[in-house]
Amino acid sequence: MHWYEMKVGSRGQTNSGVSQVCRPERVADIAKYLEQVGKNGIIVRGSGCSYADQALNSDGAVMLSKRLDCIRSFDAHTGELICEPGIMLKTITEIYAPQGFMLATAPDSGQYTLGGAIAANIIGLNGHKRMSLAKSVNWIDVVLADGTTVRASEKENDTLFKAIVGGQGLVGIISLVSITLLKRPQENVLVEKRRVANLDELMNTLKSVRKTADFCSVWIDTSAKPDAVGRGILKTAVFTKEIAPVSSFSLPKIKMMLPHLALHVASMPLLKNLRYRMAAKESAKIEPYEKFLYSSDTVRVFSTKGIYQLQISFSEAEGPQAIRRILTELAQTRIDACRAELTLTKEDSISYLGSVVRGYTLCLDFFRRKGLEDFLKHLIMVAGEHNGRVSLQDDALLEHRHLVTMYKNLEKFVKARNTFDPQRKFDSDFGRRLFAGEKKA
Amino acid sequence: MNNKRTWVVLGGTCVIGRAFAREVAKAGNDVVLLGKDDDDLLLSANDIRARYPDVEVMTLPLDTGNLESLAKTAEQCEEAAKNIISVFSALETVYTQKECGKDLGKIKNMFQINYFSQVYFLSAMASVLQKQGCGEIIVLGSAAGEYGMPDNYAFGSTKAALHVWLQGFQTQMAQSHVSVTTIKADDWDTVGTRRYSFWQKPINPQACAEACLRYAQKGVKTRYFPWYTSLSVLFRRFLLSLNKSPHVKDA
Repeated sequence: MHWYEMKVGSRGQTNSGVSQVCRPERVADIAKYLEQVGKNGIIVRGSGCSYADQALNSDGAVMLSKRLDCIRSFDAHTGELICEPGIMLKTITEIYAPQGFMLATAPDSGQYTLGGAIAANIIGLNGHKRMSLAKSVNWIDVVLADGTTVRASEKENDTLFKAIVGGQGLVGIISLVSITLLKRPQENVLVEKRRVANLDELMNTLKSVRKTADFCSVWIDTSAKPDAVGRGILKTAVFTKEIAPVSSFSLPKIKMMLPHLALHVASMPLLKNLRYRMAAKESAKIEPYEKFLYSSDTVRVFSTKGIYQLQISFSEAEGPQAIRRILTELAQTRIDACRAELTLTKEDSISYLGSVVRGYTLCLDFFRRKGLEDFLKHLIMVAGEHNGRVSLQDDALLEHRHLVTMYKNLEKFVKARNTFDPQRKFDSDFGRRLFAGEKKA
Repeated sequence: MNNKRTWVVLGGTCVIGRAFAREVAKAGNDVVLLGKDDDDLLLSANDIRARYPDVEVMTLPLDTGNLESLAKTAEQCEEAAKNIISVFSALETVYTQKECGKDLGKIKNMFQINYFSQVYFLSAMASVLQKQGCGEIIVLGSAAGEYGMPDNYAFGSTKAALHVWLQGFQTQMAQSHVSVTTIKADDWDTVGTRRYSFWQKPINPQACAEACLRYAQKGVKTRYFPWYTSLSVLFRRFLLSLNKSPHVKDA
């Protein structure tokens, strides 16, 4: 059993902490490491894709799970894949896409580990069709605080299952996953892009898109003036039998830390305006599904000063009004989001801390700057007024009182946590921020 | 005979052994995994079978405690292989200096696994590879074998001995057109208390496996992984050694 000290940082570079870190190479070692955990408990960290403090545990222990990446079995008839939690989604796609299979959910990044994707309950570009990745999970094996391993699914130990899915690692450690891969209908997708001039046009278009498109996302120009608020580029995709043209040129992948100034320039209103105006009114192209997937992995640049991400889900009824209010405030205050994206979602019913509802999910990224935190807290309040839910997977600023109003199953989650981990062996900076007020059993 | 290989992977249950086996299986080569724990071997073998169903994967037990048995294991590998045999060795056991201080037997154990087992096995395989007149041998060394660090110099000495043996072995095997590549890898975060910062992270097994295969295909004799480890070796081994010990007073 080997531990060492390591400074662990969040993806958004907003939080960091020094922790005792272990990196098990066998599932059987998880329980042995758990026995050695001291104060502040332990949290499992996959690829570290969470923007804030979800996978940090200052002065506590962190278990790095990426080396637990063995595949136990794959049934080509049923599509059932049994594997360890540290395997990356990208790896699953690389191995099984050539065999005609795909993950049920298509998130924007393939860097997530499978365990992390379940614990964060991530949604994808097909969130309006498939809900979240956890929906395709048949069962999971969970190592509990006492070192025992329990199998949980929607039918068996459902309380534990619902607490683990979306539970940010605060209830137990996922040690084995059974997930069903879907038969991919076609090899290629027809990707269509069209400009939308304002929010009304966007919402009208999205109503039909929800029924027809397999995948959908909208890039929103947050620099638009109040009368054109919500303008952007709608990207939809459907599977197609058509053959994709062979391209001899592909853009190089950029994965680097850029200076803060460079990112500021890239997110300037002028460039956003140019992006909007230079996009074709309507365009369509056919491309291989693998190329269409994981679009955000092509360019992975981060600011050294930190990025906050705010992801809010609104119902179909409240969504248009709430999104208009948020975008108008952004336009008026001239606080620019460096990225704004809208996706369609379906009600999350398999997790106590499920953040998405049937409606829309707005995702905003901001460079850290003076006064930003107050503004983001204000946006959280606005979300609350419109019955929106701020997603926990990347949040950095929520407080316990927000959870109480936004998550109706919060009590069930806390009860499950008290049942399965009464001594808080599983804890993190995130857990202490949001659940510090909760009594230990 | 085609160019397909049967890779014999020593230490097929450790993280780098697994990563290498996946890498060669991905390229369509067959794999023979050698390790001491049957359950772990089965786990590694099933992992490759589930990833690449067309690849033939075999497992053989490896008894590093009984050096005489390694010649027999090499024979079994030869019998099992249907293609050109190549060898990857990631056989390694590591104890901290503190652990070695408490129990000198651990140093003996490290020499047994990190040095003698590999020397015995590779010597037994040498005739097989010489007979086939081609093939690659990749051995995972360590940057720890280049200079003694306070927390792992016993481990480093086992690797240093292996490096020297491999230098001679390289020359011997080159006459039969068999390449021997030593990869001196940086820290696997398996031993010692180290504090990592953002830029200084344990190495990525998959990237290391890819590099091992790439270097072997090029017929490279020795490489550091990651490449910048060579700079730290240069600094520590040559520049720091010019300094006198801070604890020695001037006469």
